[in-house]
Formats: sequence, C-alpha cells, structure tokens
Amino acid sequence: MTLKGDNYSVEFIKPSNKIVFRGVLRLQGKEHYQEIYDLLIKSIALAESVLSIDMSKLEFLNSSGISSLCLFAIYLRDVPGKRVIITGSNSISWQAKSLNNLLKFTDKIQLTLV
Amino acid sequence: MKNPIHIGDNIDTEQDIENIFKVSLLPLDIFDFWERCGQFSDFIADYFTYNFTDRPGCKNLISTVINELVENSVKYSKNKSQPIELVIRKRAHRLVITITNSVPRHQKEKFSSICRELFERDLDELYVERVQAASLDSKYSGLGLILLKKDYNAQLGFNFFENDQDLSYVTISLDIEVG
Repeated sequence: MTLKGDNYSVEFIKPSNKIVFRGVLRLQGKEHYQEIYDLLIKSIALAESVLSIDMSKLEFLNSSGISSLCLFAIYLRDVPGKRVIITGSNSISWQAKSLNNLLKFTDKIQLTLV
Repeated sequence: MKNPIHIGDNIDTEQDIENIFKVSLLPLDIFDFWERCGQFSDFIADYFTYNFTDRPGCKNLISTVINELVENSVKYSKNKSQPIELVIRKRAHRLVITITNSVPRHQKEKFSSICRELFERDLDELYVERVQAASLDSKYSGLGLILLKKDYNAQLGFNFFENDQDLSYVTISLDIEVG
C-alpha cells in the first residue's frame, strides 16, 4: 500500500509492519493530509502489536503535516494493544525539533532520533 | 500607519545587519500553485547557506522557517491579489525576517488574541489545545507560529496596523539563530 505525490511517497510494508515516509511533504492544509492520515489508521489496524514508522528520509514536513501526525497520536490512545516506534534523523531540523511533540498526546509512541 | 497594535517581542531590524533580501509575492500565485511555496523557501535557504557554511543543517532550518511564514501569510491574506512583502536580514549567526500581509478587518481581533496567547500561555499546553481544536475546526490556528516559537526558540513580534485607506495589515517579525 503506497501513496505517491510529485515529491513524496508513503509506503506501508505489511510483512515488516513498517511505514516509510520519503521526500518532501508540504501539502496545502490539514485536509490535504487526509489520505496519509487514513493510511496511518489502516496500517495500525493491520499491523501486529508494533508499527514502525521511518521518517528519516522525509526531508520536510510542514506544520499541517505535523498536526496530522499529532491527530494520529490522539487516535492511538484508543487503539488497544498497539504501539508505534518512530525513527527520525537528528540532522533534519524539523525532526530534531518537532517530532517529540507527538509524545505529548500519547504514551504509546516511542521516538528514536539517530 | 494608523491604529498600531504591537504584540510580543521587540525585534531589532536595524543594528549590525550584514545583508538584506527583499521580495514581494502575490498570495494568489502561491495559493494556486502550492509547490511554489516550498520551492521559494528552498531558494532562500540556498541563498543564505553561503553565509553559514560552518553550520551544517542550516539549509533545512532556513527553508522550514521561511516556508512556515510564507504559508501562514498566503493562507490568511485578506486579498490574495495584494502582495506579501518579505524581508530577510542577516546578522552574525541569526536571520531577522519580517513578513507583511493584509488581514480581514473582521478577523483582526481574533488574530491578535491568538497572537497574545503565544506570550501569555505555556506553549506546550497551547500546542496540544490547538491541535485538538483544529481537529474539529480547521480555520486559523497559528500552529506553525507556535512551533517556530516553541521548537525553534524564535523571538516573535506582531505589528497590526491600518493604512490610509483603512485596510488592515499585520507584520510578523521573527529573529532566529541559524545552525
């Protein structure tokens, strides 16, 4: 299951319970992230106990996109028996500075910055 | 300039400025071709990267900051055919950025109260509150500005004013360490 835009892709790899974000995501507003949000919801439903999300290849995500990830974190609160591990990069400023906002919404997310 | 209202930090845009970049953008040109916003932000980041060669990662940071400010101005300009004025000044290891756009008169009070909250509230609490509110109502939330202040430790100032034709504007001033 893969979503592709001109500058990005979001791929759910079911056998490894993993989502990989790549490229640049600067969509126009929260409603434009609906498709990606829906992919996250489907993926957590299909994943076994842990869903891994690799952000380390996502060069940019604007504040609308970060908000959509936060809404996914809020959704996670009510999903029993599932956890999410997010991997990001310390060398990409938005990841180093803003990814930890997700942790304010749920304790079901573990964040690793490398 | 009539009925000025200042909110937030006082940003010095004069002292020890080493170079200046000014540009006018039509909000409509970006609104209709949204990718221009990111492309423009990347161009500005490339332009200033030469001044910060000892600061790895500065290109990503500059592009992110410019992109958030321009997105904000484009979305909330009253008149999408009236130019946004963007000025970027370099001072030592910092950039001082001002961006001016028109504001719908009837929303000026709402905008200014949202701006005031950035200086009166705990920003982590405010962020959580605004994300939850934005899930119900996607109108102006100022989430990008909260992130710039909270996560990037930027100084932020807002100047609301009216011109001689009684049109309302806001200038957002931001002072940020790069690198």
